[in-house]
Amino acid sequence: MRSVFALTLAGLALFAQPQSESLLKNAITLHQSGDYSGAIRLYQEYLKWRPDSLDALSNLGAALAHEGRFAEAITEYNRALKIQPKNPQALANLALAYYKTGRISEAREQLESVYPLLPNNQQIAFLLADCDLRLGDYKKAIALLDPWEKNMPDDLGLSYLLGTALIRDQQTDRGSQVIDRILRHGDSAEARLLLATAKLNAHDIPGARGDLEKAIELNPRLPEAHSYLGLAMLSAGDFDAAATAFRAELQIDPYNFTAIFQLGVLAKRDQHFEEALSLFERSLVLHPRDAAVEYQIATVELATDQVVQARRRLEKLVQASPQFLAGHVSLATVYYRLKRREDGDRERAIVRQLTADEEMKKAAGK
Amino acid sequence: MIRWFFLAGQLAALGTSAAQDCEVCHRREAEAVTSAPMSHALQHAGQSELLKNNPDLSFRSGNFSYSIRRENNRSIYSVTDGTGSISAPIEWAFGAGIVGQTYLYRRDDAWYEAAVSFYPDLKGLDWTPGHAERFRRNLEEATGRTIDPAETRRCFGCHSTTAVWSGASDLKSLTPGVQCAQCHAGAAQHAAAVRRGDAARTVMPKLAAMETEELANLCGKCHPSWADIAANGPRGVLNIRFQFYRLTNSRCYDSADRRIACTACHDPHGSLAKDSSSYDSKCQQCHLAGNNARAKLCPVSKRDCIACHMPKVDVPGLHYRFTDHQIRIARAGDKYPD
Repeated sequence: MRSVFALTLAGLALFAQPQSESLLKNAITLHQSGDYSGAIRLYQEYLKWRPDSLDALSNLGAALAHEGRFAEAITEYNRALKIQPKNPQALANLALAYYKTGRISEAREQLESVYPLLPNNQQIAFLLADCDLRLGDYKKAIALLDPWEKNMPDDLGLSYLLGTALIRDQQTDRGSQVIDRILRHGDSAEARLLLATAKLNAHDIPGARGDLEKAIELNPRLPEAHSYLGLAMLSAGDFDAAATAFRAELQIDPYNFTAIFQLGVLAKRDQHFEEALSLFERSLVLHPRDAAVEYQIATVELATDQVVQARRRLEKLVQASPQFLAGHVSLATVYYRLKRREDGDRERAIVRQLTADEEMKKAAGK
Repeated sequence: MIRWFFLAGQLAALGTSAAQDCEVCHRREAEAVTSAPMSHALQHAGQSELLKNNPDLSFRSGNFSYSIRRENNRSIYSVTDGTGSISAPIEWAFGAGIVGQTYLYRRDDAWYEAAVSFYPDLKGLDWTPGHAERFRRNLEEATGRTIDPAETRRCFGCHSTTAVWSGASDLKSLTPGVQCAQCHAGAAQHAAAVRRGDAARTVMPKLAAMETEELANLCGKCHPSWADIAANGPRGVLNIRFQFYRLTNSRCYDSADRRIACTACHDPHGSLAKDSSSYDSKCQQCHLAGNNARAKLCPVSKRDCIACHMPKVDVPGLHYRFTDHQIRIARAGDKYPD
């Protein structure tokens, strides 16, 4: 990720305007020496003279990002992109700022724009694949990583990303081959996490728990290991342990969608509705329009007697995701509560049809 | 034990939710409730007839041996793996004991569900539902399952009436079993107003006037509702226990018709009618010439309708034959409809 920032630094330029030349020069010097706050001040001063300077805006964004001021950095990158919409450095840096703040779908949007412009940039490819993974778009991640695998089959990072995508996409055979390749380099936290993911998919909860505990022992700060341990504990019915694991994940990655969302579900279960809503709102920032999150918010609305609000949300939800069974179930309940019997009966019939379709699919798969 | 006697005293003083408070005016219902299984859905372990009548129970699986032994007025739950053991007095017995009875005990300020339950059909112990598949890597895991505060409140919330909590999971007071106030919200205020001679100000909602779906939601607070099962499962034969889910899948289910509501067949104040022919008149509310043009008449028999149309189904591990509430023409060899 640092190398993406480097794209911007490589683009630093000197400017011809005599009265501001020294100002920009000084800003760049401070920036390169690591004095980001000093650089920010001078870039901002310079931009008063040259508000349309693409490089100054981009550099200012990078300095702000270094300071952790991502929201301001995003504003500056967007200003830069208004001047030159296809500027690869600004696009990449904007994507990274979104990624760092957990706005994964927006990060992916920017990366999808910049990847065709820099098709050989490994970091951009891997970051885009990671966004696909985080958004649950496993097939897209696999399609993106496949060509890279041919050229660099021994790259551990690539194997890990590809293996994760394959296992989560239930492509167990190919996923196992990738895991074997990783394990040839010795036991590692990453390999254990992958094994655990495969076991969770196969409903081998004790096996998954063992691998996750080992993964955490090998690397307590491995992203997603605690979150997956939380899922394993949820499956085992140990809700306290699950909540502890999700909280541990958020210490490592405050934008982990699974951890935030599941903590919301647990808060709702404990009838802490305000806390649940706040966690679901955070989840929606990470996964905008996510059907599962919208559904959970609707169930909180239902539980707190906001029936009309719940109806509106659920109607929108099933319109956008007509196969979302739980949405239809709740909508039927809402209609009955609102004494709209015919609508309730219609939704209930849809639920029956979806359930039957699901059972048929399962039977065909056996 | 001392603690619970103390609580019982408090409850009597409060006089809130037990059937005795309602008996003054609603004698028939109150008397019926007292003997109904629902009012025995929770019992102090010391008062459980099942535990009194079965003073020495045991069960073995792999390395682990389980026992429930009566000592004085207490039942002690013990588990051993041959080298160590864990024992705790059972505090509460959940279930009237028709299908089974499950036990809760406390250790280190936490509530636990015992790994084994009593099944009348077996006259003995077997896994508590859900425990057969659990981790048992050590004695601790083999003994029972911790119940977190939210689940504890849900368990007592359905199996007792007006449970009052102190902190996350400390029970301050409760009335064991499903008593009047469990369904009739505001019963305590109503009883108090009656005592003051001011009954008109606290008129109770007429539950009998509820529509089929409303009633299902009321019962569904404890007997999982259609929505609970439709959204979360279980699928297959395990959902036989969820009567309203099954009932709504019946062809004859009509959300606008009270003749298919829970209380059309079951008296919420009384015991479950065991004689299958006693339900015939309920079926004939529709399936009788002239009662409902859309309802077909059975060409085989006019008696014992539920014996054929609501078959009994065995559920693995639960040692009980449950009545399938999905009313249908059930043919031998048909797949369980879900």
